[in-house]
Amino acid sequence: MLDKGRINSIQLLLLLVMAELATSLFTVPSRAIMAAGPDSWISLLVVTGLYGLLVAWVTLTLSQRFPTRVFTEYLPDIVGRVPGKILTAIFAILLMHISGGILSQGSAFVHIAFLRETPSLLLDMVFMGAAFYGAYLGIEVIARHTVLLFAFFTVSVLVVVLLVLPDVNIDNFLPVLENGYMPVILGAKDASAWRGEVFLILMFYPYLNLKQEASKAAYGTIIIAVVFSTLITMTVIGVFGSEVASTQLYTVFKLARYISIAQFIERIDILIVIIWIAGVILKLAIFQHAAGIAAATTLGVKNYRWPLLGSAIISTAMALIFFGNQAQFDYFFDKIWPLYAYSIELFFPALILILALLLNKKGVNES
Amino acid sequence: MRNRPLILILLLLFVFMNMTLSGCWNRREVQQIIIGTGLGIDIVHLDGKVQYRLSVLVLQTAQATTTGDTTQMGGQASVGTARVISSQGDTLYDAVRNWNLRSSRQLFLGHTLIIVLGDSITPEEFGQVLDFINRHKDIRFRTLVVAYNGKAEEALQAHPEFESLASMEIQQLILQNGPRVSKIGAVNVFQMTYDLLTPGRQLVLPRLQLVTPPESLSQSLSSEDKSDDIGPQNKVVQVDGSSLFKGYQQVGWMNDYETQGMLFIKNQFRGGIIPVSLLGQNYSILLSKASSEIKPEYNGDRLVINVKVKATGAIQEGGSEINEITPQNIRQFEQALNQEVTHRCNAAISKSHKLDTDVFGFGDKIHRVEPEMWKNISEQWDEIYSGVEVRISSDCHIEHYGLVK
Amino acid sequence: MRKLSRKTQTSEMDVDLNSYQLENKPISASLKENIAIVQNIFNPCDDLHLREFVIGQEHPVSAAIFFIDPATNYDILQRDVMEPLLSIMDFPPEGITINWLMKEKLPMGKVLAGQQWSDVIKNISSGLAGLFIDGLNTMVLISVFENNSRSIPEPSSETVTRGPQDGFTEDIRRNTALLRKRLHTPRLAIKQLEVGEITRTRVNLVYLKGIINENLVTEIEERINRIKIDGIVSDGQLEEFLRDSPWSLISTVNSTERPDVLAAALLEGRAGLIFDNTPFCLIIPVTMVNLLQSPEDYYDNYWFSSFIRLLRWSAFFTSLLAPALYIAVTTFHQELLPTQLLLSIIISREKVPFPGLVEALVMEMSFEILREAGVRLPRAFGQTISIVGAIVIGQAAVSAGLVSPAMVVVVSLTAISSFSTPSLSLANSVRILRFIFMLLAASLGLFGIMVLLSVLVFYLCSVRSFGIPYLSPLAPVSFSDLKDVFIRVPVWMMDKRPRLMGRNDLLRQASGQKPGPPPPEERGEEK
Repeated sequence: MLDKGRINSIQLLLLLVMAELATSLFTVPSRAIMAAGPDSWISLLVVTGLYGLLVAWVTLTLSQRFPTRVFTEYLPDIVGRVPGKILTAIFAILLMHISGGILSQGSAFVHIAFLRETPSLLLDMVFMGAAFYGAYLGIEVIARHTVLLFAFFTVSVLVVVLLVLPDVNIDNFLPVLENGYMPVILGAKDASAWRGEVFLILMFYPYLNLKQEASKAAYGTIIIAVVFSTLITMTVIGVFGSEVASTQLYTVFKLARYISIAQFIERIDILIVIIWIAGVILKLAIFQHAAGIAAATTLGVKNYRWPLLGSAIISTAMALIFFGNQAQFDYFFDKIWPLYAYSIELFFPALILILALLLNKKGVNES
Repeated sequence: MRNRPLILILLLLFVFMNMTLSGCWNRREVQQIIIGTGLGIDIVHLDGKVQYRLSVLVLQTAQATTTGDTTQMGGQASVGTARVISSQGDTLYDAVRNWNLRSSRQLFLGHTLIIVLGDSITPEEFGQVLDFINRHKDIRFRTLVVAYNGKAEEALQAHPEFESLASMEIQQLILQNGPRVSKIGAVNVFQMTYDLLTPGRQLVLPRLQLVTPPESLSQSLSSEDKSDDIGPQNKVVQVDGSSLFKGYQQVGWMNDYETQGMLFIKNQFRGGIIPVSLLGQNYSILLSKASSEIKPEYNGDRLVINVKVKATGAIQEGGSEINEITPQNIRQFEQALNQEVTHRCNAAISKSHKLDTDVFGFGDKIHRVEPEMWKNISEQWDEIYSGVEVRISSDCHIEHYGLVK
Repeated sequence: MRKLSRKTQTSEMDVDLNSYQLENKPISASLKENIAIVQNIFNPCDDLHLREFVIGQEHPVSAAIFFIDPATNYDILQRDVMEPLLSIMDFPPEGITINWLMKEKLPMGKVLAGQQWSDVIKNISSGLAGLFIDGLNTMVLISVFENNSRSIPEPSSETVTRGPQDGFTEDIRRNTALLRKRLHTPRLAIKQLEVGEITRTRVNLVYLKGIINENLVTEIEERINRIKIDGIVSDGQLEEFLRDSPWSLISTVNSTERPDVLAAALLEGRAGLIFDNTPFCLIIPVTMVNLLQSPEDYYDNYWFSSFIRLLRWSAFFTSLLAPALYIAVTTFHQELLPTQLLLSIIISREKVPFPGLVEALVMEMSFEILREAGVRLPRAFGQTISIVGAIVIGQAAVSAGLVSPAMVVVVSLTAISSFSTPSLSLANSVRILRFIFMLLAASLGLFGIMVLLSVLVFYLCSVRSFGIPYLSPLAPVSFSDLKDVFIRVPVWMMDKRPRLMGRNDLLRQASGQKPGPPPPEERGEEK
């Protein structure tokens, strides 16, 4: 383990929750509504939840076999040294690629909704700079930051939801299951990919101080994430209805902008902006930490901070190359992202887990 | 952590780099912008080409301080002068940017309170207008939309009587006073988008009118002036009635009587006076707590929509015929009231049948509560709507009768 | 189960006394043994003095007197205790007895005889002198109190309306005496250290044995002993040698001149450093939450204290962010203001030729200068400066068109808010951070503010003060400690010490002490 930090199960839980929710909470509703209409909250509640629990189970079982090392450290033990190194390198690069996606998602929002004339590159660099600093300070600092941010996050989301409640129109939830179950399942296609980000437990499990509380953290993550996204999706549907909501790019932002109580409490979009920016930075820091550790273990260096710097630069470059414009970006998230995410989050760890079970590989001298 | 100072220096460097590099990308000082509070959209034809004309009601704040200084001993209030400034372009955004050709200040639309749609907008352009309003990062969903039977540019030039800007006046009329009369159905950008996008709904916008105030009318009559020729600057705004759309096409208008009926059916009636006549006398009944329920059903082979309106009210004003109110009398009142409410609703329905547009969202309601039924009729809904029977039943109660027995 | 563990912990409170098994033990007759026991109980206690001497010239009997240095009036000790004792030539026939001493030789108002160790410990630690005589299993407790005729100054930098009004002085012994007055226990350890090759400044490390984490004590001692310097003249210099994060903008040590604050800190399991020649003492470790607590919070009604706490937190954020938010909102996010307010801001800024940032910087700088000048000025000029400040900055700048009235409001709000932070060092850090926030707000708007805030929180999460995370109990979160952060719960609910500092002896009081009216039968009401 390159990072000597220790975190407790609540911190791990909230860390994974924030990794799941920080960006998805604001982008998932309109994608899900586009696919499943007024029933999309059911897909978020049930389908994504089940997928998330499955991912949590697979990755947790795998991690528990090697409780003192991160995924990229024990991977070569299972599949052999050379293939192992290749796989860990790919894994590290994929983490950087996902970071790039998060980064461009974050800066796109700021760019489109606020700083129209500021170049994306600068926004990317600012975001990445802050996240790099967090990842550089280590897992303990990230975990503490998470807890603070989660409190603000919860309060902001609840305030937004409560303040738009007067505008909720129950009719918007009807008709239930108009086109059967298929759209509900398809509606979870995108959102599931985010729920599966609980797979990060592969990279954070060793830092947990009380290993017996790991399952609480892993499954709790899915439950909290599902509750939050269902709540916000229901609010979006209730207020905007599925037709309007599916045309909007940043539905939840529009929701916050729609708040108006007695012409007095209004123009408080800042609530969403704050948690969006802070959330993206935190999520990036989490992914950067994972990517930095993965890169460092692949390279076999003792200090993960230089690999971290490399990972930050590569991720920023990836954000510019692969997610350069919004169309590219939307195409990626509509078409590629689900399959891509399923393979990293579920199939790859599941494969490794099966291999580990077959070869009966376990952490050496690890209780 | 030995390199803390390095990090601090880097951080400071970063801050300063930001300062110098990005200092002017998005920064707009408040003195560099001008706030557009009302937006009027018209279509004009220039050499046979469609041009969007964007009229913006602004407050000229620069004048505010100069007049404020010279008139410190008392004179004009230093709030600045309201003006309507128009610009034209091939598209709406083109018009927004063309604004910069004649103005030293950037147009800022984040405080657009109302959008006035002129009657020159045809269905072809309406879609683009809708897209512009939705796509623009500054225009909010809460911005109110009104329709004007004429040039929107003109409507914005109306003389504000109580607020410093006509747009604020219109906003307050609709949001604050609207529910007290219930002759205006407030529609904001979101609701407009919702009505246009949701199948089975049609758009209704409140109607903006410019009127010559009665008091100045009588003045000018007495002084034998040419009363019909006063410009919009001397007229005041009034919002009543509504403008009906079918799709993007404006198809007709409703007066305030019919609008009230529509609001009853759409469950948007918040309160207002319903005059009823009983025994040859007129009584005012103040309705509050109105609600409605729409139930579509098949009556044999025919689709029937039942609308049940419920309301409670109070007698606010009456003639001398009835000098004691008894439970029997109250029943009579309630009957008359029910009749009146039903009458209004029917007027609204017959107007919408005549114009063949489902402004009540009956189709949407069928979709929500009877999805199976909707599947069969959704295709032909527009054709069959005018033939669908709507049954209004009104159930109003009188709670009290003011301070007189 | 929790109940049970609490019980055992409560009884631990007297652990170090019990461990000597002395609570109800009689005093031994051997002087040597007695001296050893006292020194053992009070160790380390560098203000406890021992004077050994001999009584009688014919048949000398050795004796020893213990007294706490600062609390003792040396005149009395010398004139009324030592002189009579040393001038004893011979004993009465039955030999030396306590009765004889008390009746004939000690011309003091208050003289007690003590036979139990519990008396001895209680009385010595509350300032009586203890006289042991070899061969006697009774000892004499003599009141040699210093009646503080010298005036004790009011703490000028931390004033309270309700609560003690005494403050530390420049004399280290007076200061430890003030502390002893509040903590009558042998568990109060006072360790004397010296810093400075030339100045030899006395520094006393004070803490409560049994509550404090012993590692912290050794760590502080080590850090102080490591210092090689010609001299220090005040606490601030030492502070910079002691910090965990030496480059930090934020102070991780708290300084106070109030003995009640120090005593409360010791009770929570912190340590204190008292210096010679300065009325300020340092409290370590410290968290950011501590810096936003005022002693008065605990002296007032808890509803009011909680309200003030919340107010103080919001004032803290106001003083950090208000000018930056003003800049961000007026130059980037005009849509966030209500329409009417924005219009009036525009009108008020019409004549101002500078961008918002320059305007804000000018105002903030002039306020800082005014503030600095106010501190340096001889008191007689204070009036002048405040008039100049109020008229020049408040009014003339506005009518000259240099700044807008809105900016004046923001700057004054910031200034007032910054004075509501109880800790000067935190307020000063905020003063600097505010400018960085303003610069970022002017270049990237709210986005810049949020990014910097995130970085700041990352940074604060990483800072430690002597191993204690600076943001605890917020991050890492400790729910039981949140009772004293944004609100203050009643004292009878604060059963536990802060988890990270007082974990040696977590329980500070018995639980379930919520008061209430007596039951009806006790009230004597008729049934």
